[in-house]
Formats: sequence, structure tokens, C-alpha cells
Amino acid sequence: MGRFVVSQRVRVKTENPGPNRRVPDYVRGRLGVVFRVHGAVPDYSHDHSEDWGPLYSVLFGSTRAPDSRSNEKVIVDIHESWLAEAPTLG
Amino acid sequence: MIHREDIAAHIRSVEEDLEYWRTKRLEPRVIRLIRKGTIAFSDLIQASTVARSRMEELKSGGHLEDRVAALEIGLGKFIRGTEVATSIIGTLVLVEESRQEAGVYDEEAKLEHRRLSEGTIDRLSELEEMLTGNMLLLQALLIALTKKGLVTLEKVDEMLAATNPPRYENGARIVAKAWLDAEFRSRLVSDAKTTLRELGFALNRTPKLVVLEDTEFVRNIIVCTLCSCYPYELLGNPPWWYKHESYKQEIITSPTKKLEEMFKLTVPANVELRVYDSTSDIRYMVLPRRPERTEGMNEEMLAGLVTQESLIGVGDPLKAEIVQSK
Repeated sequence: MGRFVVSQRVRVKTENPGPNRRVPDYVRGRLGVVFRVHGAVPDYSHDHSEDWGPLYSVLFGSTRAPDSRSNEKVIVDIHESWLAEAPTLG
Repeated sequence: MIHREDIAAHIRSVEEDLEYWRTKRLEPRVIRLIRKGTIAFSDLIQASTVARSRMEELKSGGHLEDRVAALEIGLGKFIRGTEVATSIIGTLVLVEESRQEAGVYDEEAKLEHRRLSEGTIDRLSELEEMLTGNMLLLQALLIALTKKGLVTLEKVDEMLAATNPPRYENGARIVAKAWLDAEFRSRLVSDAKTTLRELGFALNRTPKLVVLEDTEFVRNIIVCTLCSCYPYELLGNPPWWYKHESYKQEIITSPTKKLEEMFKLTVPANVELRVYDSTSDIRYMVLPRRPERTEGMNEEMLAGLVTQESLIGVGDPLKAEIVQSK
């Protein structure tokens, strides 16, 4: 299915060589947690014409807006080539 | 700040879509066909008389809201008609060629958007004219293609008729079924695409569909901050505000506040908000919680409670009492 597993901490790369640009700026460089593992999604051709590899839903904490609450989460779908391992806590 | 009832913002969103489909889809392909010598400008002009006779009149009188609604319906027809034209000329103009022609690789080739008047009423009238003009061009193109023997007019009409758009009511029926049938619900949540294909939804253009189940402590919300990804194939077009920058940005940074301000929805402090940004190959639909006092309701009645907003997670289904008192 891919390198990462559910609950694993990951860091989003700040940039990624290659054609895949579909990672929003607000999560680039941030730490997140793998929330769901999708594997390689077939029939992806309408967004891109080449295989971008395994896909993950990654969960991020509140978005650092001054009025955000701790129970506000954002989940972003990110391909493996955009993710790096992050050290575990403690 | 935008409101759902913000008519000026609504009109601008229709304008953006219209100009997008004109400058990126229809006109680049027409230009390419002319460049290749398949058709000439004069073919289009000669086809215009027949094209005009095939036009439906756009409702242009009445209230502002009605006119915008009519414009949106007309825009939907224009978009689907353009898709029909695209599939007919598919072997003549390759996707790459029309991307080239649309200025994807070359700024010089780009077709500029038109500048419209500032006043809301003037703008709306201009959009109505633009849409009528675009429809006329589309029809003229289709007729010119039949003259070249590429397709028959019967086939064109058949293709146009087959493009009835999907609607959010599809989602309402699915949600109602899930409320009534626990086994269906669990299959829907674990593998939506397979489960819905069994119900006859083809979903050939949806790489992966995920249904997000709300609970007492979790509310799911959908957005696409990079463009406007949405389960179009299942639910039709999203509401206009879904594509608005203000919704995209604020639902990510302060969802609680945005739900309150824009949708008059107060979320209890013990409920976690999960905002799903559809950045890639997955399309999302929310499975909202079943309203109270709906015991004994059948699937059709329950489906009547499900709103388009509740499938995006920014609203609750209607209350049972509201529907029963109708």
C-alpha cells in the first residue's frame, strides 16, 4: 500500500520536483498524522495522466488562525512523494 | 464576507464559469478546427440560421433571483453541449491541441475574459447576451459538423438529450437509504463506489468516492481549496458559493466561525470539525445524522429532509416537523 501507516506522523515537503502540484500552500512544511491510507487510486486520468503513487489522507491540527479552536481539524489528500517521515513524540 | 443570498457574488460566479467554458473549452476547439481546415468561419456563419431556429429562449424578465437561476440552468446546458461537441470532435482535435490553443503553455495564445459593467443589473443583462451568443456558436459548430458529415443531426440531438445532469437528490436518496439500512450504510462508508455502482451509478469519471459519516461528536465538511473538486458525477453542480474564495479560505482557517456566519449553524463545543480538502483523486460526500422524530418515515420522506448543504456538511437536514406541516 505504501511507506506510511495510519497514525504515523509525517511532514509535508515544502516542494516536490515533478508534475504533482496538488498540495495547498497552507500545509507545506507542516506536521500531520496519517489518517487514512488509500493506496494508488486507479483511473486517475482526469486529474493527471501519470501515476502519482500511493495517496494518503493526512490530518492537521487547527490552522494557526488566531480564533481557531483545538477541535477544528483539516484533512488533506497528499501523495507519498510529498511526504517525509517525522520523528515520533517523546 | 459573502452570504448565500449575495446576488452580486452569485452573478460573478456564473460569469467566471461562463468565461471559463468559452475561453478554455469551446473557442479553442473552434479555432483549432478552423486552423486545421476542417471548418471555416463562413461555415459557422452559414450554419447560424439553422442554429438560431434551434435555440431555446432564455428567461430574461422577472425577479433578479429568477433571472440568475435561469442563467445557471442555461449555463449548465451550454457546458453539457460543449462536452457533446468535444466528444464529437474528439478524434479531430486532441486534448493536447486544445490545451495548446487555450494558452495552457503559451500566454500569447490565451483568450482574455471580457470586461463587464459594474452594475449588477447591467452585468446580468450582458451575461444573458453572452450566454445566448455562446449557445448560438455552439449550435452553429454542431450544425457545421453535420454538414461535413462528421455526425448526423439526429445523433447530436440524441447526445444532447442524454446529458440530463445528475442532481443532489441522488445523494438525498442514498442518505435516506443509509439511515434505514445499517448494512447498506456500513458498506457505503467502507467502499462507496462499489456500493453505489450496485445501485446503478456508473461513476466512471470519479476515481474514488468517500462517504463521510457524521456522528454525535464529529461533523465532516467538504471543500476544495485548489480548484472546485466535487462529486459532480453523483450530485451535479455544487452550490455557487462552494467555488468562492471566501468559502474556501475561511472554512479552512476558522470553520466554526464560518459555519455560524454564513450558514447560521452553531456547532457545540464538544463536536470535532473535520474539514476535508479535496486536493486530489478523492471526491467526498457527507452522510449527515438522521434528524430526531423521523421514526416510521419511509425512504422518500427521509430523502425530502436531506438538503444539498447537508451533503457538504455546512447544514443540517430539515427537521421532520417542517416537512410534515407542509
